[in-house]
Amino acid sequence: MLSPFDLPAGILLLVTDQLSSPADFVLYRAVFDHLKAAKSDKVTKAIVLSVSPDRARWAAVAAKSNIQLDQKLTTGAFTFVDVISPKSEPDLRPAFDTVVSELGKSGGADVLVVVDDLATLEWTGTPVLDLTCFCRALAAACRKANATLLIRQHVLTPSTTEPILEDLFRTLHHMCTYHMEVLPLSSGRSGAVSGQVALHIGPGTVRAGVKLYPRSSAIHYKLADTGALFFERGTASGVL
Amino acid sequence: MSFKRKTTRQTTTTPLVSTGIHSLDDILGGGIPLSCSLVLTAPDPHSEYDQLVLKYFLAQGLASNQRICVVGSDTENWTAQCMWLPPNSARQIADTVDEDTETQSDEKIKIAWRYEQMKPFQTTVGTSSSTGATADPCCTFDLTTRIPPSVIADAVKAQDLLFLSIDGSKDNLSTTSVLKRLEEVLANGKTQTPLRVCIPDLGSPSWGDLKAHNLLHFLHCLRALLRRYPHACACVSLATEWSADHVATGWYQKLGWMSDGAITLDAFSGNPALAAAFPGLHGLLRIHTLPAPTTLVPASDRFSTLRGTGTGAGSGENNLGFKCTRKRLVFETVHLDVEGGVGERRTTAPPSAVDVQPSIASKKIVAAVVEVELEGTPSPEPVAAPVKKSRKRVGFQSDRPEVYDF
Repeated sequence: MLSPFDLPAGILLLVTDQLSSPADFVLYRAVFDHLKAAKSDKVTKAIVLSVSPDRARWAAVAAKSNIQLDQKLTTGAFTFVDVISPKSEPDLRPAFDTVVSELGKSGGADVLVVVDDLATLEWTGTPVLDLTCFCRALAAACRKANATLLIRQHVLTPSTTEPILEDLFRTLHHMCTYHMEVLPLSSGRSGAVSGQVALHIGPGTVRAGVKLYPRSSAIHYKLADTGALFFERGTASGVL
Repeated sequence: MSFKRKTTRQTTTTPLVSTGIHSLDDILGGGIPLSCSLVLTAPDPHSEYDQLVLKYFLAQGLASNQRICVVGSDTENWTAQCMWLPPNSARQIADTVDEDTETQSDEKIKIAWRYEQMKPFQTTVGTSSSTGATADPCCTFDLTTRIPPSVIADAVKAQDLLFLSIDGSKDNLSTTSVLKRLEEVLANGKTQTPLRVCIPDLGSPSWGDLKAHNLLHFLHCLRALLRRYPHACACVSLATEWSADHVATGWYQKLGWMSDGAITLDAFSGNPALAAAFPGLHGLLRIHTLPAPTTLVPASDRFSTLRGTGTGAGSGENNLGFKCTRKRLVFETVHLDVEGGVGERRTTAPPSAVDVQPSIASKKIVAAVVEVELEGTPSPEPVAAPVKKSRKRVGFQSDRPEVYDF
């Protein structure tokens, strides 16, 4: 899952990002690679729980990768769930029920569940306890169905370069199998390199041969229209 | 090097609307895309540059015959203070040229031949460089002209200009009711003309007691509303008490996540040291996030001349600032002054070798001219120094070189 990282399926991947290096491209790449991996004998499904109302953006970016999301929506390979609604307070229960029912309907398909993002819910007033319960329930449901869960979390770096560890982040970090950090360059903005990605192992996971990228040797990426191009730090690899 | 096959992609390019300020349109990548929200913060309590930008936004909408909805308290009076097109548009071009050349007083500068072809150093984009990507061409407004009341009255009569007042009750937050009424306006209007939502002073006391999460919730729901009605866009300016970064942890970043575009206009009014360091500017512009409604990369990264991220690989981003002249508000790149504290570059011819008398261009230093005479030229000993010492002179005496005569 997620080239160039060789992550296994059935994990809980926590993706953290900052305002100067948003991780939208990671989510898009995970979902589109998952949908493209569908073969005649293997059915793949992707469920996206989104707090931001960005269905049009998903469709536009998917079109650049030659995926017709509308078609996938009708066939049921792609499900988009809006968690927040402006009329009422955000209620996580309906979203959870939708995911559970979709997981039940999937049969033997390979399912990827993406949650984008919970920090917004916390900042707009949802109690952290509710969000924690929601995450735990979702993680349990995905583990039962052997689905991969990808949770995106924004971290804040107000005055220092070190992100502040909020309670929700700590909870998610304890639960995750792998933690992917999308960071800006430590030397500031650049026109050529958009940022860097580090991959850490979760606190309770046994090392299983997945190549990790600590912050000191994080991979650099450059955003293009179709997605991100990765290259090792200090090399150009035909990208630059 | 791999060759990229040029595919005919059906790009869903979102239509853009102009903000009324050429340089701000450039920074945003052509203008504000429809269905996007832009949040402006101005932490300086002594000035209101964010409200000025909002007035430009409104005036541009009126000049382009678009629909506008102003949300706030006392909105009619606020709208009446907006700027307008200059009365005589032919004169306006000459006036802007005069303003731009205020520092180029001396035309007889000797320029080395290889640089003669170069254009003068420009810190901002000109008025003629409109890319044509916006639905409405950016008009050049004049800050010395007020909007005619007839224009406002006509727009109100045609229902193109709507005023939404704030009403909050004890059990209903003002933000919730505003969102509900805004949705009614968006649902009932014509969808062919763009609608501009203008919210000056969000979070001011007339909005009632709001907490940080109420404001963030409002901005988030506003963005969701704009996505559902993509013929509209919004420009919001936060009240001063909500504009500073210390309101909540990581406040600017939270604002950036809740909206499509977030910029801060950090004026120098309360900080005289910064004002002295950047004499030509009135403040610095900080960009937190820029709109990218259908693409991964914001359009500004590729198209903005002022930000300078598009040209060449490995180029950094320019620092940006703004200044408000008598007639307009301009955003431009920030450049440090020449070292040594001299106001202008030295362009006078080098003086002759014998009598070195460096001329200091700045008028600040009162004439304390230092006269240095080279060794070798026999200088007569000063016989009787006159009592009136008008100039300080340091003279080398050729027979007693170790003695300096002050």
